[in-house]
Amino acid sequence: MPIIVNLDIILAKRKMKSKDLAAIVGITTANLSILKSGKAKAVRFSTLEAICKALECQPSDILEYVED
Amino acid sequence: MLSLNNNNIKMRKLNILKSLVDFIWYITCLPLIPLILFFAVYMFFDADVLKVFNVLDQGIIITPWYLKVVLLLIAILLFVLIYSFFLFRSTLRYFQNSNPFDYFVIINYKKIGNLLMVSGISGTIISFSFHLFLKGSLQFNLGLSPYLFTICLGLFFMVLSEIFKVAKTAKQENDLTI
Repeated sequence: MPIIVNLDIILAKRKMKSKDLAAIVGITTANLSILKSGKAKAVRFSTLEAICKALECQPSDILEYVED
Repeated sequence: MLSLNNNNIKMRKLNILKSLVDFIWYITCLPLIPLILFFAVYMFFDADVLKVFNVLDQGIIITPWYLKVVLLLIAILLFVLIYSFFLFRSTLRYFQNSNPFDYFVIINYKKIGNLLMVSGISGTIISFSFHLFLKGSLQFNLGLSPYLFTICLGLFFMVLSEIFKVAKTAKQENDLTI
């Protein structure tokens, strides 16, 4: 998939654990893992908004387009 | 609370359907299997058994051998219908386990559709040839004949299989939406 999720990088920069982010955003760690691994087919705006709010970043910091 | 109620109603309907299908399976289909097998073999030894079909009493000259072949084909068609019913019964178990979009259900519905189509078309051909060659009459059933109904049912199951395939993909995408 040409959309790369850079959640790991942002999490490392913020020194935040996946478990904590999942708790703040209100999703399960399993779903966060699906998002991080790039297996997710879609992201809800509400989820993206919550992630951006928790990590104090922009959607473009998390999502990146790379041509195949 | 409302969705729980809806779920209960849905499950109740499914349980009624499963009970009815089980009843038909145990009362009609299971005893029919040995009966058809017995009849299919016995008619080759004792031609008098064919008298249960009124065709022999109507004064029509029928080659018993031909009638036996026709009855054998009808017996095979009945087995096909019983097998379709068995497949349908097994898919209901998946519905009860709240797993309706399983590949087993999709494949089974397609199989049921194919079997019913084959059964309906073969039944029409057998019925048409039977009337043409034995009774010398050209007969078409344009109304709601059992064969036409079987073909429609077969097509319906094929369409249902396709719809379930689309629904499975949609469900998978929904499951992977975070």
